[in-house]
Amino acid sequence: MLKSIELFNDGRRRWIFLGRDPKKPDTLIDSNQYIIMEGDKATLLDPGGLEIFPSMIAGVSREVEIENVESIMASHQDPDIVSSLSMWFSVQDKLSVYAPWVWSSFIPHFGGAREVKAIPDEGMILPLGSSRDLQLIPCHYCHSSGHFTLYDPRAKILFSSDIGAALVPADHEIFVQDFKAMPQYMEAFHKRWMPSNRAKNAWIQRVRQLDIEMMVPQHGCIFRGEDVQRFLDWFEALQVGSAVDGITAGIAETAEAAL
Amino acid sequence: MSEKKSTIFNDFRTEVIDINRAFAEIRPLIRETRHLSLNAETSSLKVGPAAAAFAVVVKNLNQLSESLGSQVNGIEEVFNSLVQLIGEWAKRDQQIGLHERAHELIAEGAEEEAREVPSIERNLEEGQQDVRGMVAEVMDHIEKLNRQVTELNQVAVRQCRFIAISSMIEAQRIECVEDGDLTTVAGDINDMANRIGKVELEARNRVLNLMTSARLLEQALK
Ligand SMILES: [Fe+2]
Ligand SMILES: [Fe+2]
Repeated sequence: MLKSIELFNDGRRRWIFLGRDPKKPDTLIDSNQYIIMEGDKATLLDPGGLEIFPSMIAGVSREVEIENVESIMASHQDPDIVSSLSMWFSVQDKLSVYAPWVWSSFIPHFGGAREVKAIPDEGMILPLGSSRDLQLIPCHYCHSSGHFTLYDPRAKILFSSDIGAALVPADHEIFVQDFKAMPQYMEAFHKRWMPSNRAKNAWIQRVRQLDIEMMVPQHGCIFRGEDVQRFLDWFEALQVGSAVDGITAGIAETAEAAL
Repeated sequence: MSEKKSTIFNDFRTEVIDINRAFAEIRPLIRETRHLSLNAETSSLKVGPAAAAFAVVVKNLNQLSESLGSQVNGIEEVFNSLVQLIGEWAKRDQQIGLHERAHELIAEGAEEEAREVPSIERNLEEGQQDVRGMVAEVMDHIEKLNRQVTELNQVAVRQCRFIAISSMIEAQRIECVEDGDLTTVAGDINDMANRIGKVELEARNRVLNLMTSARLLEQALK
């Protein structure tokens, strides 16, 4: 069974974390899923892959009537993000799916073949129930070429998708306890999966203007309070796009072989 | 699907795909039959008015290639929808598996105030109904294939043998003892009859195997 933690509740808006499934097969990268609720309506942020759908529906149905799940927000096109799409349609056919426009005709390949609501490059407000305050903030090239994070000014929570991902052991704490212990789980991922220093820094600059109490990524641990700033500082200093070195080395090798 | 069931299912799918190989060998034969009829026509023209009766052979060969063509089209049509059906079945089965797991998890977590998820129940029921429908349709398609292959035997193979025999008789009558073009053509037609027969036999055996596997699968699903 997925662990579920309520991250925020002001009587109207709720944030629920779902993750750390002890029965998840080791072959799958672990992922965090989030429910945002406004009254009795809900949206699912990156509801996950096909394999974890059973645990997800069990977890989600504990918190909300499935008929009240209004939408799914796919931050980008990866299988761990939204390959469960057709299954969600099979239990809730009035579901709206929001995804970056660049992926809006790719994501239907996961099945269900419904129209995807395309999020424009500059972002938009994600409607939920009667609320219009959830901001979709672009993080293109961090890592996907069409990619969004989401900021909730009421809960002061930033959903950061793959940014802040940490490949921690299966039984690791959900909240960051000691930031110094985190880079060992984050560095390789961010260096290799994030392609662009320019894009990364643009996103950091953008989110530094927000009032963030919690940063919740799609893999790994939740950053609270000071740890959010610690993460942004660490990320800013990191050089990403590491696989380019592999290509360059390849060029040198090919040139040498040609001699 | 349980592991045993999914093994049977995979074997079944492989058999269906293999059967296509047997059918694929029929297509070139249609073209060759057309060549044969052209050969027969040119050879009989060379021999002259004496070979006028050979025109019947040419006509029969043309008919054969036409009926072979439409039979193969029919088989391919059934085969393609069978493959599609099996694909849908596999997809539906995977969905059922996920719904079943979800159902178990919900039941595990449900305490006194158990929250039911009606859409999951509905999906499970509909899914099982769908699969039962698909299995019935698959069986139906295989039956159809079986009938078509039998027709292939009755029409194409026998017709070709008949043409071969009649062309041989004609060739002997026209050319007497000396070995001529028409005798060669007649020999070719006979070869063709053997080849169509071989392909048909192979296809029929595979369809029969498929029927056995389908029945096994049907039992495993019960
Ligand atoms: Fe990703
Ligand atoms: Fe991811």
